[in-house]
Amino acid sequence: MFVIFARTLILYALVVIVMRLMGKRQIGQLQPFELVVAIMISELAAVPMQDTGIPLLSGIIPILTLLIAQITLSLISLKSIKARAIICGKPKILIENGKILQMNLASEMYTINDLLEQLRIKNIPNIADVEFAVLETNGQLSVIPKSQKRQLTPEDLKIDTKYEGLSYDLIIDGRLHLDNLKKINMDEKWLKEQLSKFGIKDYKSVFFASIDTKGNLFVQEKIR
Amino acid sequence: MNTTIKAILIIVLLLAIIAGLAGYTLNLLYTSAGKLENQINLIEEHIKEEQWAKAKQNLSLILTEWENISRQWAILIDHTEIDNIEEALLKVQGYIETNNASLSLTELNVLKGYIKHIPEKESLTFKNLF
Repeated sequence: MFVIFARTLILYALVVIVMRLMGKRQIGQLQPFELVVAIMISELAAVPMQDTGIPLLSGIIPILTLLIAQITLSLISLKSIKARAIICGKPKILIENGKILQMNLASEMYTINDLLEQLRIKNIPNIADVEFAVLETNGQLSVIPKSQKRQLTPEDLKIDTKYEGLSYDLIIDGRLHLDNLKKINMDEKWLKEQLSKFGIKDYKSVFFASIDTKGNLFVQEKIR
Repeated sequence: MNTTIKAILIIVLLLAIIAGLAGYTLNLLYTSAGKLENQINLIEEHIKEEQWAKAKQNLSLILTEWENISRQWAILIDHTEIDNIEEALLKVQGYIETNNASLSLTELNVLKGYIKHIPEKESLTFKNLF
């Protein structure tokens, strides 16, 4: 029992390291070959985890080999546009200037029902509202609605807006993030003063606190 | 450090580790299998000449050697293969104890087959690839 426990932890740690080295992308954004590698790694790790008769190296070596292959392919894809087209494929336009490109739909084996489904998921129930629809290399559909059908922006209404950047996390789970505090050119004394306005004496009792570019502080205390 | 250089370094390091480990593993398997085979051949000769005392002596040497080798092999090969060798060794021990020449020689032959098979299975050959 302890053997299986230890082997599971070792392989889990290895998979975490390998997935981390492969880069940060969500499942839905992976290229086909990246998804294949992720699935293969999980299978390779699972087998030695449960079968103690198989040496651990029989799981570790294939996983490392896949990591090498994956990094190599990603590197080639990064450096060469031609290779990228071969490895990842090219995006395909399915709707151009409001017209469905039937040949492209057929070549991608994408049915009109698939297209309508994806448009509905993108909150576009009417295909007539679409100017361009592009099937990306990761399988996602990118949609550009017709200019009259897109969402309004402040620019359309000629409204001036102020700059809106990222908000900075100042306190997470009672721990102060001094680096972010420095980024906004503030110090602990200032933060204590701000927290006292919320009736908070110690930042260690704060679950989460962040500040946006307008200087608005969001604070939530820990549950006692 | 540049991402490309970092990636290339990771690839080269991992390839070096795997290649080194593969080479070391194969060498270890061939060397230790060779040692065991030689001992087995010696026992076979003793049995054919009915020198049972010497056969038992050599067998105990193999068993001692096997204790070290099995620990190393357990990290590298399927444990079923190790179990097969241990089963064959137990049988050989029993047959030699009872001075049974034909069964001893048969089982020693089987044991040799199991042992020879281990490094052959790990070699980079056409047969192993496909």
